[in-house]
Amino acid sequence: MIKRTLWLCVSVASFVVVDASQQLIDRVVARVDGYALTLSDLRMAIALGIVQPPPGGGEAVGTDQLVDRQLVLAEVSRFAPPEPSPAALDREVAALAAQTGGRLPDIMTSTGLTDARLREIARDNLRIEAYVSQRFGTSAQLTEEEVLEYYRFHPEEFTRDGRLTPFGEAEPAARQRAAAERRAATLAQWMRDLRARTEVVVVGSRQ
Amino acid sequence: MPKPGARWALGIGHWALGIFCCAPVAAQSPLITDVRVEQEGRVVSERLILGLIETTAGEPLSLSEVRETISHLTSLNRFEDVQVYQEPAGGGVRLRYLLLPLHPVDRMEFRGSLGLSEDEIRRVLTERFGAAPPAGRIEEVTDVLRTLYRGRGYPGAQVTGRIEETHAPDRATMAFEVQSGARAVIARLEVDEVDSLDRRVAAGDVGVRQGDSYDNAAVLQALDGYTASLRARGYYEARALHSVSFEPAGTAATVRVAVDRGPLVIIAFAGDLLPPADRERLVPVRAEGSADEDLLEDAGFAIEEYLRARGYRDAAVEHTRAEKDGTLTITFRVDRGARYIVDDVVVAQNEAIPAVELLRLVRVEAGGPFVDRVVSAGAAAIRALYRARGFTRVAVQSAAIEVPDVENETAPGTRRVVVRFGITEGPPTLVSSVRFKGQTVLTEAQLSGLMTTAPGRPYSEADVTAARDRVDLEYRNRGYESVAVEPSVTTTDSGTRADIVFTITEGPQVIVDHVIIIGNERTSVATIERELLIKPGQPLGYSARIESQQRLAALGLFRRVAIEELRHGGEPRRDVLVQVEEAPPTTIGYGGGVEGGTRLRPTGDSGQAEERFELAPRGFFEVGRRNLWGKNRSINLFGRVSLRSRDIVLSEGGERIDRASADGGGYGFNEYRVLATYREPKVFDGPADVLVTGILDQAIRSSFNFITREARAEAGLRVGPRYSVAGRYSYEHTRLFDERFTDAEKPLIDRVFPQVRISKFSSTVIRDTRNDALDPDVGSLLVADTQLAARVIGSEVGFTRTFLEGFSFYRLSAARRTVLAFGARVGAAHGFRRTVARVDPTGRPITGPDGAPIADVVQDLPASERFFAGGDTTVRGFSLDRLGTDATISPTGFPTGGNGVVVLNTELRVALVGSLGGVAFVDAGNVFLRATDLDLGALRAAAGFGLRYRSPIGPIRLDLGFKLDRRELAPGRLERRSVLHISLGQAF
Repeated sequence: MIKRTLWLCVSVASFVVVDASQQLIDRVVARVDGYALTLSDLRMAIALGIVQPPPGGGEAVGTDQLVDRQLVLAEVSRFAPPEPSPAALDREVAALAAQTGGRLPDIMTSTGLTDARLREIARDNLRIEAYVSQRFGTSAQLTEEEVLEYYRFHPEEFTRDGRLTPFGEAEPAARQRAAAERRAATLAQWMRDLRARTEVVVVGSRQ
Repeated sequence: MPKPGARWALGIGHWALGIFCCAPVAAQSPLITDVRVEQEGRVVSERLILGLIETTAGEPLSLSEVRETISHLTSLNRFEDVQVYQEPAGGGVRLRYLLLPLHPVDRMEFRGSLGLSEDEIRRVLTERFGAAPPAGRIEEVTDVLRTLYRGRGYPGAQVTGRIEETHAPDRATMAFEVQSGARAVIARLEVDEVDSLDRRVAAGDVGVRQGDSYDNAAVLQALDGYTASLRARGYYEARALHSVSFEPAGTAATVRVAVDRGPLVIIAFAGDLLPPADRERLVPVRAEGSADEDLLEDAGFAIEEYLRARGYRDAAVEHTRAEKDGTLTITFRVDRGARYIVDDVVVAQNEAIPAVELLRLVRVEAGGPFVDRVVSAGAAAIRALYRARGFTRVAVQSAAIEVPDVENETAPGTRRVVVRFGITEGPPTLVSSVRFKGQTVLTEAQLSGLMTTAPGRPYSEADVTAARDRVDLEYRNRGYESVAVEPSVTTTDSGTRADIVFTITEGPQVIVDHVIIIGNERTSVATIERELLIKPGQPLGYSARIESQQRLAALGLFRRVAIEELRHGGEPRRDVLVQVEEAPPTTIGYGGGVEGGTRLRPTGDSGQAEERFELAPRGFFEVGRRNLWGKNRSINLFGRVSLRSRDIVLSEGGERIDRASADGGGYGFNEYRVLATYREPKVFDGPADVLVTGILDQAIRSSFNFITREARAEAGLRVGPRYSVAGRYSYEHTRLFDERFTDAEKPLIDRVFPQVRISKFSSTVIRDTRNDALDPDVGSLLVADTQLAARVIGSEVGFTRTFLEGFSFYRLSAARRTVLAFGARVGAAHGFRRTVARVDPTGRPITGPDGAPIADVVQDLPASERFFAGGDTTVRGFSLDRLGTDATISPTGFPTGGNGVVVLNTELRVALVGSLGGVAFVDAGNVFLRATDLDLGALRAAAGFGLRYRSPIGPIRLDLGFKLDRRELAPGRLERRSVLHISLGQAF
């Protein structure tokens, strides 16, 4: 018992005492089925717009989004979609670069992002897109009743100048929005299922 | 730049570190002056960990290398977090890796007043979460525990869970503090029972009692029992539900039970009758507890299918429901129609493929029932064969043509039909070209080499698919894991020519970065690496990974082997994690059994041989230690002993002694074998394994007993998946005793050398393609063994001996496992001439009348090296060793063995029921005095049958063999006609 307590004290001391002149440059923010997501991954993802935590959302929300992306990537690897073409890859790399608003060189320096890694992220984006389209389609097929139900439950979306647009007129828009809502709900459920069957550990920034 | 100085701060402040308050990164990367790895205040020097650090002193700091290092370290599954710090040092930066160990939960603890038994709590949680749930699931586990308590009548139970970490080793305990509170008693029970018309009826005894402690599982069980009793009375849709409410104090519960009996269901059948035994199965209303429309519809289809499978192709079933006064009557009206019997099966208009070949694909037989489904499957099989041969436009139509019953031979209600498969073959399609698009790694010549199709050959979809798979595998073996190979086929010239294009999207090549081996505590890394075909810097090949896993598993050192790829850094480089779980180093085995066989025994004063069936109980014990010094070396000790009957033997003076009466016992442990083995795999880092063996063996043969002590060294080598070779040297000392024949009958060599020392070299070549070593049904085994013993290497006698064996196995039917097995064994030996001075019992030379020493010239093999045959593994109509020509059987009927042997076997093995199988066999063979005497015309034959039981340790065998020609065993005494054998394993 004494030995155990002594160990605990030594260990806790080693955790909590850090030389103030030292600066943290990277650490693990989460483990997804044993795969490490690091702080530099998170910074890189935010800078490239891959994850978009709300202002003030900080690390927790960003990490959560990055975990989701990793869960999807693991699924994509299991049921590999077609490999993206080199041209599509070039376009995606350019889109990622544009997302940074000309700060790409700085981001590469500050996060350790390399050209190869950037290309890999672009490839992952395209594969995720292809997989999700392949699995869930681009829009859900809805019955007339389902569209009508959406129209009835969301009258504010179909009201113009204080007048509710008749269903016959609003039907195309209602169908589109109902399909988008259905797809979003399906994807959200899919993400919940992925999380439930994968070991996800979000690591706090303890020292 | 941060201010220098050792200003220490409590890390609690760092908990709030945000994502952008990490080190500012300089435009130019600083040089790394030092790298330190620490864990819990200690500097880490473990080679495995240091080998995974990508950042090197003297190099510029690279954040991608830092991240890669974190990925490597995390993949070890030993660290919860890896934090990397930099601090200024000597004009650059010092890097510090801080490893925060993972504390996996290794146990659960339950404290406080539990109320329930700890075993029950543990069982429930273990079934759901395993014995050691991940720490991250503690909330979920706690919720399940609370639900358990509530369900068992503790509504006020307080349960809190927490993780308690321990160190050295780094583990954690999932601890639960429980205050169960008082258990609720059922204070009030309300039962509401209604019939199908929602009329309240008198409630039955639902099996729940007021005053009992509340237990949800017990209430459910009682209600299940009650609904079962209602169903037994015909209320097939009976349901019982309950709810519970607890008093605020949690000590009293009110249980409300709602029972809905549903209608009384009566199932009736009208029209053509069904066998009563099948009705319940076809209409599973009682088993399913439901009479809903879907189930009834399925039942109707099941009855139709049942009848159609028996030839009633027009069978029709309808059901009706009639509900009156709470009784639901369901009536199935069955109209089975005429029964159709197949009169003949014909194939028409086929030109390219013979009818015989096509009919083999069709499972329709004359005399059997006509079943539409089977006929359609036959047409599909014919179509598939044509397409595989290039007839892409083939059409196959099946028809059932009724045969007029002109002579009124057909039974009433039965019709006979001819099943006709009409084929329109269409023109054959030939491959006109095979092209590839998109390849950069493999050349066109390499890809062509992988093709299973070529221009000029018939076009076959199966060939194209096989070629696609081969190209795909080739790329995967080169590390292109996301390769996509898409064949497209264009037909021209009215479908007679096919142009095939394989479009290849190669994707990135994956290269192995690190190979990380974990879980090996006793096994050296070198031993594991030697079996791995995956090397750092090389492509991560698909087959290499699978073969590596198989090779590691084949070492026999591990309970579990898993090879995983770990992505890191995004680049197409992967770490390969080899996880092993070592098996216990010490193995102990023991067992017992009984062997039954017919042996020769001397009888009466004359000592004539008589065949006697004997049972010999036997037991074995084995202890082994593997993976010695972590190098996969092993040592084994095996002992086996048999309890056999003692018999009448000749004493040295020639008088007969009945051992049984002399010693007062009929049985003794007179047969045993002790074997100690040391195995050194891959000796001197070469490909061969070395085995050193010591043997002590005492065995009972038909004509004599012997005891042998032997030391043997053997080097074995596998040459590819089929071939293996071995060379060995052995030194043995053998002494014969309890011979069943007199000195006069004894071969000269045995008289001169009653005990003999043999030093010999031998070599063996084996080709083995069997699919199962114990009970094969496909493949063959060929063995060639040659031995050389000579006086120059320390042997008292010299000889050469060659033994060739060949066995072949063919599966005749897959449906009912039927195997045809053949075996042939031929042995030939030649003794080197030696002159030996004759000595008296005191060892003095015996001289002749002329005073000169008498010398004997021997040129035979000693008894232990001579060939014998007959018995359960050779010719089964004969008892052990019984076979022989007149020259190798003594006047009293005992075999003396010979220098030549031939054994031939044929066996048909058929699976009967479950694990039981039957065999029929014909064996032939004989033993000849000299190798030059071998004569196939002098073989003795036997035939018989037997039973096999496929047990987990191999087939248990019972064979009864009959001699096809009986002869005199000894003057005036005929051989037994049949011989029974009981043993383990196939005969060959």
